[in-house]
Amino acid sequence: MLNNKNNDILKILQEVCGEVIKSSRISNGLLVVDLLAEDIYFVVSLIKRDERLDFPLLVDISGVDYLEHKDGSILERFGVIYIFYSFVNDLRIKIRAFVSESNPEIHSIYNEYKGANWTEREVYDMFGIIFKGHPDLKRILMPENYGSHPLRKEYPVKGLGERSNFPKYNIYEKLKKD
Amino acid sequence: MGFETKLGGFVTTKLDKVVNWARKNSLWPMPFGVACCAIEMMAALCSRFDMSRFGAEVIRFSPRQSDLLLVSGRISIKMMPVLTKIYEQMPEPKWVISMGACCSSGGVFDTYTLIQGIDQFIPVDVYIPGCPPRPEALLDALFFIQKKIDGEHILDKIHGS
Repeated sequence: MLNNKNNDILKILQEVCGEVIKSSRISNGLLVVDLLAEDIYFVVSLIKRDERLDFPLLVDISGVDYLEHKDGSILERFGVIYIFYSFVNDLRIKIRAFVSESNPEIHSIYNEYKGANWTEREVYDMFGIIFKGHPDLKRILMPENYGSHPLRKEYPVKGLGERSNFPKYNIYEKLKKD
Repeated sequence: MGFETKLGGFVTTKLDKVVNWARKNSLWPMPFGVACCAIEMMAALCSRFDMSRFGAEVIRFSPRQSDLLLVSGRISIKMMPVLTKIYEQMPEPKWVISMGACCSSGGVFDTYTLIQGIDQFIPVDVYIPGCPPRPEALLDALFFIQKKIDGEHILDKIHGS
């Protein structure tokens, strides 16, 4: 029954969006739809506003770095994953938008879902993906003067020296002077 | 202290002795609990282990009213400026206990976010190993602090060193 609902939703999406949807699959009862970054705002506003789909709740936004990922379904280096929930159908949908490394930009969905504000800031903080149209795109977890984006794969586990870069308590300076 | 009551009601002692005696038996801890070590710290303060037996029961959540900073838990780079500020707000004389592996050395969290030992940024008097340490270990650290206070000269802390 779950798969029937998923198939219905996928059919509607494919009707309206057509070529925008690059690939889709149903894994463990969850409909997963892949697309490119430039189409995300169109699809998200569709699944919110279309009465047949009706996903009013944004569950989460997260990012993935697919560096050195050899899978053919990976279209670009970064993926931004959106999960939405429908109360009417009791169903979740996962939308994966691929963002290129050379131009890591994607349209913010803040205008459709106000809850995207902080989750988009987190993805920006961890992966450096810029959300165009976000009202206040700044770091949310790391300090504001932190130089890099720590969940990118090329970033070392121990950091780039940020842990000891800020001013020490001046008692050491005082002792040196004495 | 040598009590010499036969001298017409006078008590003679050294200034250092009496000041240190007052300080060490009335430590006012400021808890800075950010992780699981804080649970052990709470246990040490509660009735079973009862730190108030040793004169350190008045927990103040204001750094301006306390003289012993109990740092317990992992400190991230975003939290370290806050901790430094709290340390600077405490009036002299002040002492610091670094409780647990994480705030003494970073512990198992050798990642991009965590400070590898708060002693890189603020001076620490006593380190407590353990993950988390038992409440007895915290009491032991308190005794170390008291022993340290006993050996201090009152002018030491005025100069802030």
